[in-house]
Amino acid sequence: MNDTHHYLVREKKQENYDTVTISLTCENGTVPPFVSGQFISVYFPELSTPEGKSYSISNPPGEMTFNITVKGIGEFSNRLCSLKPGDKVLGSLPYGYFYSEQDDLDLVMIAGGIGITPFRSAILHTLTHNPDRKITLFQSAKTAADLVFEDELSSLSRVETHYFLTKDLASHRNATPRRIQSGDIITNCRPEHAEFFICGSIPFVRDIWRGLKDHGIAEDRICTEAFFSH
Amino acid sequence: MTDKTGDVGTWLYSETVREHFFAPKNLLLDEATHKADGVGVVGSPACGDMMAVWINVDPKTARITECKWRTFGCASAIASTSMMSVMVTENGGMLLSRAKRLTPEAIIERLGGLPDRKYHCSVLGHLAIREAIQDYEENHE
Repeated sequence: MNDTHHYLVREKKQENYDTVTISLTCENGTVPPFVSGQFISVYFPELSTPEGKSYSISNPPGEMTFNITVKGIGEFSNRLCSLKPGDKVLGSLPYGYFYSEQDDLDLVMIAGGIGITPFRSAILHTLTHNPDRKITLFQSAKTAADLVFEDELSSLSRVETHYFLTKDLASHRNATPRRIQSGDIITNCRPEHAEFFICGSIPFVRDIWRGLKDHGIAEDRICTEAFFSH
Repeated sequence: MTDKTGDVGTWLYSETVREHFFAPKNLLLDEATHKADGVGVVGSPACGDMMAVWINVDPKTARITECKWRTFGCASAIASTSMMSVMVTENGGMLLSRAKRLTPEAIIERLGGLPDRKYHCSVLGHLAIREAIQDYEENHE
């Protein structure tokens, strides 16, 4: 747990029935430097998870806080979701390499569930700093109630959004009622001129990565980030 | 039957994992006299896994010519890093730009699969090579 800091919870926002966004700063009010796509590891030493758990930063650099958006699915994440403004939490500095390094290519983002979090940061950052870059977002969730940031991201005119729901199929007016397939991605982007980012569960990332490869996408244009526990 | 990039079912490890665990490739036991162009260290002993990677690079071709490593980790971590070191050095060495995008999925596929609960082992290899490349680029460009 080198390079850990106590971060101060500044705000908390309920995103949907089980997901909250927690806004953090260092204790002195500053925000550690980060790049869209990076994550922090959070530690609760009193819980039996010494390695902590990692959460992608969901807002772009340059704001007064850095945010993590957490789906409460277990003891650790529910503990995080229960934090209140003024509470402190132990975390690492931002880290990771899930970001674009080819600004001249289209951005194609494929999110499974709460895997949308790093993409919100990247989309908002790109719209500000490279507004001509084409962005296509594919978001998959079980039900419309599980979608996070949908209202905000689908209202961005420069972002082309595609939604897929695997359950409760009648609950969303624009979603495709099935699992997303790599063919859906290929037919809705310029694959020969795109950089692909996949974030979600291990099986979700694996299946989409493999599907894109099967469609002839070079491995060096696919970047992945999967949720896992030690 | 093994899923190439997924859980390997009731049989915990593939033959490829077993081979790289029992006979790891490119292992470096003593770095004291080893000269490297870039070094990457990830993980933490407190968390159970730690990995160091040393690379040498041909500056003319921007290809990795050597990748040595050492890890304190489980069989999957050893096999993952061993395979990663093979992938980045085979066929004349991988371009740095390509190695930066060497995903955990690609390492797992070459290993013939890993149980999903061991996915993080391949992430360590992926991060360690990224760290080593970053170290090289910061000191040589």
